[in-house]
Amino acid sequence: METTETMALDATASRETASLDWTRVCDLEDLTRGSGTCVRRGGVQVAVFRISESEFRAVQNVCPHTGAPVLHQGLVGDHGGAAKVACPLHKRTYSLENGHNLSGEGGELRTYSVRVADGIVWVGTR
Amino acid sequence: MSMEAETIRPSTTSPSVLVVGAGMVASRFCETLVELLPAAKITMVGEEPRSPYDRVHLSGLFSGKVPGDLEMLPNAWYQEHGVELVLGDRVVALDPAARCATTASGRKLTADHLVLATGSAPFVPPLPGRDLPGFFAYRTIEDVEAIKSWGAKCKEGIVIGGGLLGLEAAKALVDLGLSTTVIEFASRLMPRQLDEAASALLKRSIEALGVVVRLDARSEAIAGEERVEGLRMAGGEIVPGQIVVASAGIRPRDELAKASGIAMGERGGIAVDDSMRTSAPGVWAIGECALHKGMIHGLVAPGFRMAEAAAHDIAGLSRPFPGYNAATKLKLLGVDVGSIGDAVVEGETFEDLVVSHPRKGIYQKIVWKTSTRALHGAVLVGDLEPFGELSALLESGEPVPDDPRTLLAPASAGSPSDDPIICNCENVRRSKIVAAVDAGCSALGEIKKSTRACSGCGSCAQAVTGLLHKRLAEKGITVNKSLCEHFPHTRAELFDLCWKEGIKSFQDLVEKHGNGGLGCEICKPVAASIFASLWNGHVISGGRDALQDSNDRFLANIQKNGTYSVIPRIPAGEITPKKLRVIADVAAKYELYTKITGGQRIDLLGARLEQLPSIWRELVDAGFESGHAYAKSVRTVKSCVGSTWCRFGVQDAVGLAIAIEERYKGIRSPHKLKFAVSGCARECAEAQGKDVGVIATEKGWNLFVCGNGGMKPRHAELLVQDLSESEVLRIVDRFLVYYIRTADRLTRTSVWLDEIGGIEHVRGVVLEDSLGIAAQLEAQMEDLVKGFQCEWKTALENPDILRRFKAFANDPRPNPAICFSTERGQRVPA
Repeated sequence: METTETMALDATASRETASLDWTRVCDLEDLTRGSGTCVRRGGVQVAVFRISESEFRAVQNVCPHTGAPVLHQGLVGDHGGAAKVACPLHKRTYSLENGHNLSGEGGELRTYSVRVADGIVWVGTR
Repeated sequence: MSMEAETIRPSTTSPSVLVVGAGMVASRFCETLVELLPAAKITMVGEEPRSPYDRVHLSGLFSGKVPGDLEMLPNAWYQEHGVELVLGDRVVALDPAARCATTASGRKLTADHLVLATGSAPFVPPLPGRDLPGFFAYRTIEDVEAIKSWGAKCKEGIVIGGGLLGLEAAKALVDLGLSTTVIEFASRLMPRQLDEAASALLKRSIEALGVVVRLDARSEAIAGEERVEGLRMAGGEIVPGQIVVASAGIRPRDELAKASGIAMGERGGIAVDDSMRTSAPGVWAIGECALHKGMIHGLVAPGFRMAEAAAHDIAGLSRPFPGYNAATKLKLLGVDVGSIGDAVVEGETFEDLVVSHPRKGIYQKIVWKTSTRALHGAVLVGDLEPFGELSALLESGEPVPDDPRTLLAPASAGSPSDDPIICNCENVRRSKIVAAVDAGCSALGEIKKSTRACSGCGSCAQAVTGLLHKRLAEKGITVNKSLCEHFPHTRAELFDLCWKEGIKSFQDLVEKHGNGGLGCEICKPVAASIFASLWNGHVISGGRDALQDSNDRFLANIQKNGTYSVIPRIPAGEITPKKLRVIADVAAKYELYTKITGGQRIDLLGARLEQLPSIWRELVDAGFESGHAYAKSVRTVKSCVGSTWCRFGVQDAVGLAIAIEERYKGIRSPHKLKFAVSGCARECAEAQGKDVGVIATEKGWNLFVCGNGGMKPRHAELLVQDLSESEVLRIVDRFLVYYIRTADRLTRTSVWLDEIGGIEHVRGVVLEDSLGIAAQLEAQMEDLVKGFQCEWKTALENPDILRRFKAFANDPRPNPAICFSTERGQRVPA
């Protein structure tokens, strides 16, 4: 189901980028501007957000508070200009930049790298 | 696995399948196969006298459940799908080559495929005296019934085995009122899952319930002459007890397979591959009798995955058994215990971290591999908050963070005193909130962050905000009424701006009047609600879906496990048997938990995201409309039967309730709106607890407004007396639009009434037109009423909207993180 082919990186891509273990997850048209979409990457579910026309973020989909697979359904916003998401269950908010829990105590989110090329969305480890 | 392999092909063949065993896993197998191959001819043979039932919740029979509550599937299901049940007859011989089974009664059953789901048997320690009356195993409904009837005559009970099942059995004896002793051979409880410290904590919590726990305890024989009188321990001591229940682990029931020459594991269990095939062609084994990669899985979740793997294989599809990380979460005798992977290993190749608060009953431990830093296991007692995150981490195989402590949430501090608890979820008292304000918090978000108050269910938001404003005022600080960091306005101010300037998109609004940012979970739904109240477009079309909370975005109420609830509109609670049947059929088809709501309608819970469109397709086709239970909107109009049936009724309450519900349905407002109509002064519909309540009089209708149930109940106030039906609607038109225009976000009418200036003020505006806006209010309502659409009907016609209703963009399968168990005969979140 999940494509494991390696991303064809252009010649200028740095060594660091190449080590991120990119996985092709879906097409750009699967993403809606201003909201999230859930994809599987290996056995893990990842919430991919299209926060503007050309900006993307990805974090774990499972809510660290309840264990429910819902974060991709959260509302996207910003706090002081940095992108964040609010969990739809209890409105705990998390930074989409670094996964920090902005509501205080409680778990944080794992973040992933996102890259879009030729209409294809790739997710890599960070 | 390729995409094509996932597509279910309609079967043209009708193979016959014989399932040996009739437990939970066998039942799941039948269910899956029926779905994949509706034409398959399935026969299921079981030695127990009843159809498959939920063994996991057996101890429920001691606390009030009856056997019927535990049924996996109703009997009608088997008939409907042509599954033949052969019960109370045991298979005694197998011929794998001929795919033939012989039963104790001499029946010979033959099929194209054979599936062994023979399960396991409790391991009964070979103690002398175990044939005495009063000695029981703990495995079947029959065992439970025997324990119940024998236990009723006893004072003291003994359970042999301190594992998962043993503690379940101990709970059963406690529920019977026996003073109970648990005997465990190992040095800790649940030795496979818990380490010493976790076991000690669990032991203390269980002992607090009066259960005696004896570890490192070796039993030698059952004491007694004619019946059980106790358990004799090594050393000669006799623990007194009139009933002994053995629950010391399980043994796979592999004897049939073994006798017929099918390959076994070294220490038992039927060897299977990833598709659950045994060494004999055409023979599969699933559940606790199967040995997969050297493991017997004694839990039901992996058993279900095996059943699905075998059913897919037989249907010519591929869904290999993924293995199982043995993450399990349960409540044992009132104590939360979570176990993930293996947290009991020790040695130089592993590192661990322990967080322990013995006085609060909290113990958390994580173990990871030193070399790769990959999580190996975790055990949680008392606080399961990190459970989801940890199981995801184990599943991913990724390293634990540099500071592993971040994986374990620190337990909140706080000493009990006599000031009231404001937030029940997080146990936060008034003094803590006041202290947070004194320390500089000036907004709800800051208080949440600093105290965790209001970060649970959110129902204390108003109480916390009230406390915050009061304290700020006491300190002489001006209260900041900004909606959020993106807008320095109140909701009412934004409503006016949008209206006067014709603003219809969030982008316009945030650029013209806000800070130009992305917005947030506060201002985006407010803007969406204002646009819906003003311009009336479909809530999730035209780019508005990204503004909506997930409830509005998917037109359903999100539940704790990420599934959704479906509530069709049943105006005034009046429904024909025919439509009731449609709801019943839909609920049965999609296995939805069904409950009557307080608003006289029917809630169908547990729908997966990807099921919502087909569920609503069936409901809309049968004439139902969206009930808007997901929206901050008019919900329902409760009513009594009124003068149509009631001998006391003076007006047609149902008729007016339907007229009101049909008029105001779907209209978005700052918060939910509840209505009721009572047919006489006896007030059976409880209209005085509603935002809008109408009570019949001899001369017409009395109109009450701004009542409230919920957290802070408040009686509605009488606005005006003796109205005709059309007058009621005209006044309610004005009242609602005035509220929608002026109320702050998430403010119910009862709070709004105080903020706007009390009942006299509202009476002035809506009855005497003191602001000169009555005609405007009426016109605005007329527009909203004319613009009504069933949001689900519209959504079903729009492929762009329907595209969003799937679990994954790159995988058609349902989300595996959503699991269910059964309670009182219905599916509930696991």
